[in-house]
Amino acid sequence: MLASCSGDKTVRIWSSRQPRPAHDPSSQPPLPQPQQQQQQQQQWYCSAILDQCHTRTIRSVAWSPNGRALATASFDATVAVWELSGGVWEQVAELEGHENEVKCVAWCPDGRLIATCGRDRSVWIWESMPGREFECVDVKQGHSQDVKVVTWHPSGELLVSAGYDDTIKLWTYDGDEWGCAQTLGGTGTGHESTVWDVAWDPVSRARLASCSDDLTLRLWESRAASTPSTSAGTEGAAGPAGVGAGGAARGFVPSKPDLRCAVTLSGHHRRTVFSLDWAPTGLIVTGDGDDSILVFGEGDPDMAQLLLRRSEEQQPAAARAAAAAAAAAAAVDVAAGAEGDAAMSEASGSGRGEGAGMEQAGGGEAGAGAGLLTQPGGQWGCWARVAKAHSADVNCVRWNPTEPRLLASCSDDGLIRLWWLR
Amino acid sequence: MDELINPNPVVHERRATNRSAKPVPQQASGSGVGSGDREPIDALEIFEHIRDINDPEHPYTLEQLNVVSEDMIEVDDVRGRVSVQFTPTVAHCSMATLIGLSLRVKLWRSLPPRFKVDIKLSPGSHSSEAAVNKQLSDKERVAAALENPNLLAMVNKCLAGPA
Repeated sequence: MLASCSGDKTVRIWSSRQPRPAHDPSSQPPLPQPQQQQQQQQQWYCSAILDQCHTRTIRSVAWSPNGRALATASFDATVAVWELSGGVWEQVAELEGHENEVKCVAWCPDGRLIATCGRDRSVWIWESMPGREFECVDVKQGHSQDVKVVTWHPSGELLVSAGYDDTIKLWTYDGDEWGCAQTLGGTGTGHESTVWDVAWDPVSRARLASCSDDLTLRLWESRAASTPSTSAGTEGAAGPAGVGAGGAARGFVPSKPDLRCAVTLSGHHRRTVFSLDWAPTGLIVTGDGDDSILVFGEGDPDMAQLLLRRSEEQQPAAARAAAAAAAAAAAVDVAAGAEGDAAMSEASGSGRGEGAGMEQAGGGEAGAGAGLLTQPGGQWGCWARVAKAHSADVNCVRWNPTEPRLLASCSDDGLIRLWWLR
Repeated sequence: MDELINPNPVVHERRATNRSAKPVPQQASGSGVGSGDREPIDALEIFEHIRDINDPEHPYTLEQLNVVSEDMIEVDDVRGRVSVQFTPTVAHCSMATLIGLSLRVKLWRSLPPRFKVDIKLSPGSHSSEAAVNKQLSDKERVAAALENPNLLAMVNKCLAGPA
């Protein structure tokens, strides 16, 4: 299941139809490149439209960790929580408090808290109460300009916010309230313009990636990890670059963040980098204002290719067919089918695909997607570039959480595209 | 308005432009961008779109106030890039953002969507140049601003053309 939100003030839920037997994915040319699947379109369809709630652009949408609820953040200053009941999506709560545009919403990994941020320069933390009530438990003023994004660390102990003031702030809970434990940037060591998105390394859970209007991607890791060491767990990872990222997990305590910029990837993007996501395969995907989607990896791309091939071969046939069908899904330029078209590709700049959140329907069964394809500690590089991935700015890119080779992107062209990593 | 920011602006003549005097470079056939019939969009064409935008505070156009001029426009038709620099009449002009927004909206409405438009102050023309440029290039802020009916009305007034 995929959720998308838009300047047309709606959220759309996209579901996939019964998997059809698909061609063998391994017969494709061996490039670690997300390719848009051309076969088997129409496998995904718009299963629900959530409207008549927000009165302005919906900028962000987030699935709750259990996949049963959806939160939406809108320029109308409100956040809504939706639940599926009797086959119909219903708005069950409204979070009011922000002065104006809310720009991002994120569920804490245990589903107990919701963080929101917006143009009023604040970060709000809401607690889920019995009876589907949400209560504001903290409001953090710390950013000097509007806050574009909030993300939780997988442990739930650390909240990240970033935005127009070029900084990234890390917030921790001291048992009483949330406080800013660290600010990244603002001292000539961080981003030089608006930070648009951030994502944690889901494997080590000790590295943060950020992307910016300054056209760079930055990777942040614990200061402790940067000291040269021969401790266990890094054998074979002593890359010539000496980046030392392999030891990133060492020394990082989410409740006491001590991050520093370890890697800056520049020269790859030509316009603002709006979105990024870090997959369990180790790959980072970015989407930018140059209509491009890029994939970054560390280590040896040829090795990654080999590992990808092997994981495809080892996958049971049934799982593979399901995965391939899921991928085919991809192709659905959502607007190409159904009634979604008109609304989503509406002219004059509204109807932009603003954000996407992805959830694998039914969860569980596909699990073993591809494993780690990168070699932590190796040198980072741009492994793939899809120029003209869309015909307008790419606003959001998200990996599928349970099938890490599947990627969704959305754009000002009004389309959502799904991509399959090969 | 009680107090004008620039009470006495210099007003220039609307220049006559002669398109035939500027030969349009021939599109190489088979370049893949458009058909051979289409004339590439050039700086003059962009200028034609924006020259008659009204100044927010004076009864003159942006061309008459020399806020925009053809030589401050760069176009890459093949790559779909347009860059427009504008020069407020005074360096502390509080209308700079509104002028920039009007330029952006006019070009959004006039150009095919494949064009990426960058609107910037001409270097050294404004006391808070970097801040205004950053705001104008933040498409989320621009989108939010244009959802504000008052602001949109002001933009539309600028775009309404000569009274």
